[in-house]
Amino acid sequence: MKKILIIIQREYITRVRKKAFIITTLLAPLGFFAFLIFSILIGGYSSSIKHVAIVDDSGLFEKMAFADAPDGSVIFQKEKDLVQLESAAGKSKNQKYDAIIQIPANYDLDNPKKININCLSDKSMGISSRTFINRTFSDKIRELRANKLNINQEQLDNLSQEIDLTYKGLSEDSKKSANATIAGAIGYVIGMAIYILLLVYGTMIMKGVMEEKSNRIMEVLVSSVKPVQLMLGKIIGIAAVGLTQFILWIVIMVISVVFVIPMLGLVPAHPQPMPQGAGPAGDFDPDRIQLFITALHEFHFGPLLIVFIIFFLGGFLLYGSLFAAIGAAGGDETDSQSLTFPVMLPIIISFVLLINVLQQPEGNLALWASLVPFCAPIIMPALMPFNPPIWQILLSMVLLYGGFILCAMLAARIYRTGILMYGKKTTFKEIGRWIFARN
Amino acid sequence: MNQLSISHIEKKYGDYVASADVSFDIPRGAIFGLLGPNGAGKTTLIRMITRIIFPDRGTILFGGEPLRESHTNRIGYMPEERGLYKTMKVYEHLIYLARLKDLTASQTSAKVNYWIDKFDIGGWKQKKIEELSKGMAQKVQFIATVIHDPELLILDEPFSGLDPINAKLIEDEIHYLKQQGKTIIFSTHRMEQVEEICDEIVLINKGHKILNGGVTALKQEFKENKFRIQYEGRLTDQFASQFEVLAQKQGETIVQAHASANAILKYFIDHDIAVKGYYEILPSLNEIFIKAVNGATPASKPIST
Repeated sequence: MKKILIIIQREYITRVRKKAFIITTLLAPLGFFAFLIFSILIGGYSSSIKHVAIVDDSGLFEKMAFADAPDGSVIFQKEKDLVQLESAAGKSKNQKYDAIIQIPANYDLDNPKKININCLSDKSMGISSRTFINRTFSDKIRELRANKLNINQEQLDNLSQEIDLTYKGLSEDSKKSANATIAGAIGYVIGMAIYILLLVYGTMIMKGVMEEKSNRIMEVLVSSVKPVQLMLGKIIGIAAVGLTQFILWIVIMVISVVFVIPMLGLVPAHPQPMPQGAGPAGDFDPDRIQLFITALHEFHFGPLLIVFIIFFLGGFLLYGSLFAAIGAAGGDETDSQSLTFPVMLPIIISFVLLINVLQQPEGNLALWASLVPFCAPIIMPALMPFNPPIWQILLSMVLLYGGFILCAMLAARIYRTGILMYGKKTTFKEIGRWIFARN
Repeated sequence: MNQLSISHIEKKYGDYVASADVSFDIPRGAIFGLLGPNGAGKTTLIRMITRIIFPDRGTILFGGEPLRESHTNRIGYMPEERGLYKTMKVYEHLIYLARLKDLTASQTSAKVNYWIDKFDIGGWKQKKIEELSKGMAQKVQFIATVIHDPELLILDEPFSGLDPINAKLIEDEIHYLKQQGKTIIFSTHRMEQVEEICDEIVLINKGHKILNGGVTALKQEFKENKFRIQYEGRLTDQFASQFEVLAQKQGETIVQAHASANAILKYFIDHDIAVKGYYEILPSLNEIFIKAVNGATPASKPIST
């Protein structure tokens, strides 16, 4: 046991102090934020929707005034005739309107989900414009419904204040679906993170074993320690490296979310001159950030992180032992490539399944995929934002760690024989013999 | 007292027999040669002694006790296929390998420093292994083998790839360790190299033990009563008819003695030919090996000596 600790220590320290580790640990979150900010900016400013026509066939909004977006990204204009507008749009390339919102004649205030308000546009709409339009209409509809229910202005103000705080979309239903979308996005990011970490660190284990073999230090080592100690020491040591990197990423990201994003929010990021004296904060649209951050706050990150670490480690140990076995069996890099495939395959399949699973997080596929030890490390943490039942999490965990023990036993047998084999090309048939060999 | 007793060891890989019923003892304090051609099963035997692999049958006793895990800390093994982590520094590498032999942290640094001074490689302490010359790396490798002060040292082809100076250094070190009462196993297929170093040997071939014993005793056992006589003067024709002459050149003759070797000497005295040298030709380990292998496996073709 003491020897395993010495091995873990060496594997950990030699990797953590490498320049490549320090650089990727620092640069990956920067890259992530560059991407995030870039996509927020693109999402915000690529929005080409400026002039939006409102065609009110129902006449419900006749007396209503529509305020333009404060940053000028959306300018409303009421129009009478949809057909005329459409034919005008067909004739001329220089359309007057970028989008047309049509309120059907039979629009029912009492049942707003029955018939939808349509927004017609040939162009893609930025998230901020979409959010603004949604919010405008939900405000207006709320106002109309309030009037209909004889709620006075004071009551309405009260009401609207409350609604502002829980604002998500047009209705409760869409709030739920918006939540599901964000849960799905978080799940996907988690699944992807584990997928990448498994592949990167799995390959690192394999390379490490191959290095020991081709360096010919293996036999020196196994005369001091048991092969299984060497194998576990390497896997755990590298897992600790992966975990260190991951935790540093989280820390850097939390620091960034807490300090850097508010700073960005205060700095005018828009290179273009401001229309109609809109403030810098309005320019960056704090609402969008707010939406993002409140959505993040709704998830329980503590338990999510714990589950993430448990499953990441489980998956790491399971796949790590298989990668170690492959590294031991393969003589050189080209030799190992064909051996790597069967280990990579379940990781890739899990990732492919992830997309389907996230669409139906309570479906059968999600359940079974989360219980199969080979898929669990990717699927189960990704399901966490959907609040799966505790028994499912626990069962998945038990099966994963059970799977690890079986894999490690199998891997140890391959490893023990493989590390001392030189010169021959290793086949699966041969590996099979090693597994069933005595001793 | 035997440092190691190997009895009836058997190891098979599928149909391939790596060790077949091999038994021998290694006395404590001896330099012991484990000899045989490539593929004879030397490395398999060593791996069983170092508990890297396990015999299918048979027992190994270490200092009289059945070999167990804790004994590996008392064995130093320098494999034939040896190497070090290329990116580690000399000092930390030695510390690492010593720690894996269960030395405490404080013991370790003292020992590492002792050997670094002894081999005069202090200037290399902070160099990475990949920066070392091959000879330097071999020195580090040797230090790693002896760092934990093992009772039993196993050196597999220790001189391969060494220049004469480093080979001499290692050889001196081996004699020094023997003086301290350590047991040393030498494994090699180059028998001429160990002839003078080893006290005892075991010869194996194709997994089977061929011969085992003291080097001197084996030479006596396999000698063919040949004598080399160096002299001054001329031999008479009578000499060739009286004795079986195997080789003859100016001033030197090699004779197969059938009865008493002194009869040959008597001829020289009787004919008043000055004898400069008179030696019994003892077989080399190589010759013994070839002879023994041919004897053990009659099916194989006879090899002319």
